[in-house]
Amino acid sequence: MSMLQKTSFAAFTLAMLIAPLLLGDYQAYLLTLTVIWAILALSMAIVLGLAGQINLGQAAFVAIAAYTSSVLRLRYGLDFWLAAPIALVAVIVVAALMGLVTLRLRGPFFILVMLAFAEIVRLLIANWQDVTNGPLGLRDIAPPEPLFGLHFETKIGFYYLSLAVLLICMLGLSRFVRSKVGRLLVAVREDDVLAEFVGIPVMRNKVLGLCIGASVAGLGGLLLGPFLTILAPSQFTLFASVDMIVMAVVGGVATLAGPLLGAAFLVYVPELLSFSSEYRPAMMGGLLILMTLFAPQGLSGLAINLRAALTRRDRHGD
Amino acid sequence: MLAQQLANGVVLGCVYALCALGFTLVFGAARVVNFAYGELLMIGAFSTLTVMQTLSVPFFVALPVAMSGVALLSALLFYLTIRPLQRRTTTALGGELQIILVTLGLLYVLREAANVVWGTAPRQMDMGIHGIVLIGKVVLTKQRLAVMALTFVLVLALYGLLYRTRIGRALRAIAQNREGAAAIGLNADRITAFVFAVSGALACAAGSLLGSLYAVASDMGSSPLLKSFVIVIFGGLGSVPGAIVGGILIGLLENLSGAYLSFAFKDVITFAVLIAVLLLRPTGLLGRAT
Amino acid sequence: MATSPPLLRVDSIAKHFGGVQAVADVSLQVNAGEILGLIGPNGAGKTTTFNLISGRFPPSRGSVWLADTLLTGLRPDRIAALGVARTFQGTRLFPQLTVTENIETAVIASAKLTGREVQRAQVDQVLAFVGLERLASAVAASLAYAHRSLLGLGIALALRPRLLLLDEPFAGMNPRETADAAQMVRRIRDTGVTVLLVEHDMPAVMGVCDRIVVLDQGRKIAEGSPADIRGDRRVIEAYLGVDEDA
Repeated sequence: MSMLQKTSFAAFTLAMLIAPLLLGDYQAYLLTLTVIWAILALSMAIVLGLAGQINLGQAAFVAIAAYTSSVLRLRYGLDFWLAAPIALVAVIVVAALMGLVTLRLRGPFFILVMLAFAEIVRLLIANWQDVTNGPLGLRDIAPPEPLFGLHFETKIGFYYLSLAVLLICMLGLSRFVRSKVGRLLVAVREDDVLAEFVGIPVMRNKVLGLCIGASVAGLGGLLLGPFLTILAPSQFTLFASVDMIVMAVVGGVATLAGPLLGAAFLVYVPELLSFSSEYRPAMMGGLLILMTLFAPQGLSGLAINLRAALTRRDRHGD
Repeated sequence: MLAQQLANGVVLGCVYALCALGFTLVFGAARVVNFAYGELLMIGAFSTLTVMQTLSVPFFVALPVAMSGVALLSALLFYLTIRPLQRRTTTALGGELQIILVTLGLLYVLREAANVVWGTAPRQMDMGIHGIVLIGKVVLTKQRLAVMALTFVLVLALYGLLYRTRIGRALRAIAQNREGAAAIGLNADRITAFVFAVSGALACAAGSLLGSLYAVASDMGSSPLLKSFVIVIFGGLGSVPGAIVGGILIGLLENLSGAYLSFAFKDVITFAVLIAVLLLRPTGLLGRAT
Repeated sequence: MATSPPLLRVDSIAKHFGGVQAVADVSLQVNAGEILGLIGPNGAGKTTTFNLISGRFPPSRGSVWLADTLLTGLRPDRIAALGVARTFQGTRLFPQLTVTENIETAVIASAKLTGREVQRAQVDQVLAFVGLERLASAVAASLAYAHRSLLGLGIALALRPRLLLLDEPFAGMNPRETADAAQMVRRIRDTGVTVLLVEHDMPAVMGVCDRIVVLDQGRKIAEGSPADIRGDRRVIEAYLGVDEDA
């Protein structure tokens, strides 16, 4: 990481650590929401930007993690810190299986199958009354139990937990992209035919990309349950996946800051403009169209271009 | 009874076939997966209804008017949002991906626009054909017969267009080989716009038929979109006969599994069958490798 | 040259797609250290044969051997690991990566446990060989056509192959560029790499290849030195489709 990136990351971390202490309850709530959405947007950026696929089933991974952990806690009394890894493993296994089965399909086919997969997951959740309580969903999901003396029942405590997850994901991703495996993955995204002829096992890497994206989505799902305290299948439709896509695209998939910007944008802009939730879908759709047409690199891309234009320096790849 | 379910399934299949045809045409000609297709279908249904109500004309008079309107809308959307993207080559996300993103955005915007213009409550649309017909032990409403007949007429018209006109030939040339067609002077953009228009018209017809059979509502487009997607994959992306055969098959499959297996899970079954087919034949049942 | 066993052996391969028989029956050998040209009129099956050898898809029949390792049925990444590299007509690249990163990708994909220093040196070596040092930081998508071809070649060479497969290397080149490219191919051979190329441009092929194999309608109709091929009546007929003596 360059000096600039390191300093901005440090500054960002500091700001995020201090912020809730200065803000009221409602603002802290919005900030936590932004952090969790940023994790979900990051997961979509991984799949979009690193694996080069549009995964309309990403919300299903979130749902699997959220529901598995919550069901284990509510019905079987498991501790959050035991239920969470189990739920994550479940997500990774499902992602790996789906990936092995679907990633050899070309573009539209992959999209459709993941869409079908997402619908199947949602329908299963909605109809498996005994376990998931069907369409009514799960209620009274408690915050995570204390761990190593750290408490998460308070809003601030939970916020720091979410922030920690986000920061770890960002740092991990940053190192991953520069690692050998990460660079091979990028090559596969750039041209998967050439990649294969250069000696890169393409299927293996695409599945890996999907699993990493699914894990991060799963982490977001784990936090979602306690944060919202309720879960229902209606939260995990196609539109939930598109929400994640919009955040990733608005922020920009090629940078780490992108998903953050996207999440912040989507949380705070409706707040500032006091949008009624009715028009939210239209705003999302309009944003998606406008950004794709006029600013495909997203907000972070615009920022990079602006900086480059101002300093008139050559731009390398990321 | 089986024959009755089969008959109902075929009628449903006809409408699905119409849905799928518009979807597959656009893919065949422009390699575009149009996620906003279901919304065009919905707007088509509302347009027919509105024309019927404002001009006080019957269904079959309103339909062609609405079809032209949606055809225009579809072509316009192509020019505004998809054509600029087809020219792009180097960005963080490939052009194909971006087109899909844009059509997803259009999905939202069009649905919201419909909500604003027509409200969210479902409406009824009367085709104006009443009565039933008895074929052996099978009961068919005359309306359902009309649906089948109209589908037949439209498919014939489509074949006429594709195989008997110059522009149809150009369309098929472009579907086969885009660069080659450009090399001999065919204007890919204009022809693609035409395909979008035809696709819009078919969507309008399909939506209007669905609306008259069930109801017209702003969320009516999601299910047909998904089903069209499934059908076109079954039948092969870009294949016209595939869309027709696939449509009827899916109509039958859905009806039969709903009647004999499980009504709640009939969609799950359809999707599961889809996934199974794709695993065995990654290019669809009748498809050719893209 | 013929005393040592051939590096590449193609045994009676055939390929049909649906109802079309693209390759009917082709056998050929490439000896270590030679430059072999594969030519033929349109539709002869040269590209399909090339793709069969490089592992893009499996043959309907027959086998391909690299020394004594069976290549048929292996995935392309396995074949690359065995020392076979190929270029693509129209050149495939990693568009958003820089020239250096493109070559680096090939180096790290094929590296066993080499350290970063060694890898860096390999990248620099390839950059120098294809003459792209000054464009090292340029983004691949922004390169001009000629430089794209050089980069494509560089990516293949970065794999340090035993056998290099060139897909229409002289396509779209004027005579001067063709001469430069031919010289590049000879330099590659001089470093110990065996070359098999598929090509339309006859003069270029005659000028650079040690041996030539001619295909027509999915079968081999002639093989030999450029001089042999130039005068071969069957080859002339295949290209012109004319029966000289009625």
